[in-house]
Amino acid sequence: MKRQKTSGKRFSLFGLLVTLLSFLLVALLVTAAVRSRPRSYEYKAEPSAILYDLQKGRYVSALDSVRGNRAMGIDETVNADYAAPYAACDYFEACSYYEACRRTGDAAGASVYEAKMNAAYENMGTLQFMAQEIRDALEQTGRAGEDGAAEMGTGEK
Amino acid sequence: MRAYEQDFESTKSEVLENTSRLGRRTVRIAVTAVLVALCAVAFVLCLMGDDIRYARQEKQIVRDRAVHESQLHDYMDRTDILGLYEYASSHRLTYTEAMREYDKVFSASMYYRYVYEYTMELMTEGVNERYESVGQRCESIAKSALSVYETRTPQTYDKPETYEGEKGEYLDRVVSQTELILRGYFHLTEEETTGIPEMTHSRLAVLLEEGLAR
Repeated sequence: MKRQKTSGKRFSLFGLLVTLLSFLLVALLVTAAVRSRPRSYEYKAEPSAILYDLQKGRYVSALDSVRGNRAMGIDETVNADYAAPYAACDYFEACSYYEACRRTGDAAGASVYEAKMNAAYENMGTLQFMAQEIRDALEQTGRAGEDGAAEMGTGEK
Repeated sequence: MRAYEQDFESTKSEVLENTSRLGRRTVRIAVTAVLVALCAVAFVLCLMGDDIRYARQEKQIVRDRAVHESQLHDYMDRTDILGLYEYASSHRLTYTEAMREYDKVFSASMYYRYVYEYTMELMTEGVNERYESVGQRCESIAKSALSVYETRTPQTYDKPETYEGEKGEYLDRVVSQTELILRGYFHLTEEETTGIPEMTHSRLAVLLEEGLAR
């Protein structure tokens, strides 16, 4: 009787050990599976997030989001809500090169980017009012010399 | 006789019990040992998780290589530098063995992206003085611009397939676009941009900062 009791105690200790080791094994296997799974880049910017950046004048951030989305195959055909914000970002990009060409006296380059700006403008829909804001934001950088470079550092992100 | 029989039965049952206890103990030790060994294997697999993942990603890239190459060449033909880098990083093509011959294309595109984004941010939003001054921003742009030129320059350890032919033409266009940004927004002259490869990043940063005030 005494022996049976001791054996029962040993069995429960053994059972506990097996249970703990089994849990540890499962946890380690799950961790290994998760760590070795190829990761895909799943960041996706919603149209509202791009629009918010555009409204705040954070054109670079908006453009970055659009580039990321397009690289992952999320374009205007997937969701029509993307059309206007994407076009606004395209407009900004074309305008940034247009400005650079204009200032360096590259008329041929400027006309190429101007055509891209016009094409983007056509697709901007309700955001067409932003075109002027974008042009102003980029054009005023050409007046940096008049205002002094130091003033360029006063912007808050 | 009965006493002998009792003694025999008692010894028999004792022997059987001892044997059974030994058997149970052996089973317990074996089960524990197997579990510990499996845990050790799983732990090693955990440690090798990153290597296994990279190997699997590499395999997947090799499988989709034709699609990736066609997409990359499309970006290169259109000189869509920002788009190319975004595609490469989104699909984790950079720093992979499978796409090694595009290393320079990826690097130049990445550095150009820094030049473009740092410049455009500076022009449209300014800098947040709490974290960075205009001078520091110019230094970042200068470092990235110089890296574009360095990437274009073939090194002795570079394989020709990384900078020749179509890739070489693309790299030249990345340099031209970098110069366009520097001349257009920092008012550098043609002579100044020609001399960039020989400049230190501090010298270029000073030129950029001075250019802003021109």
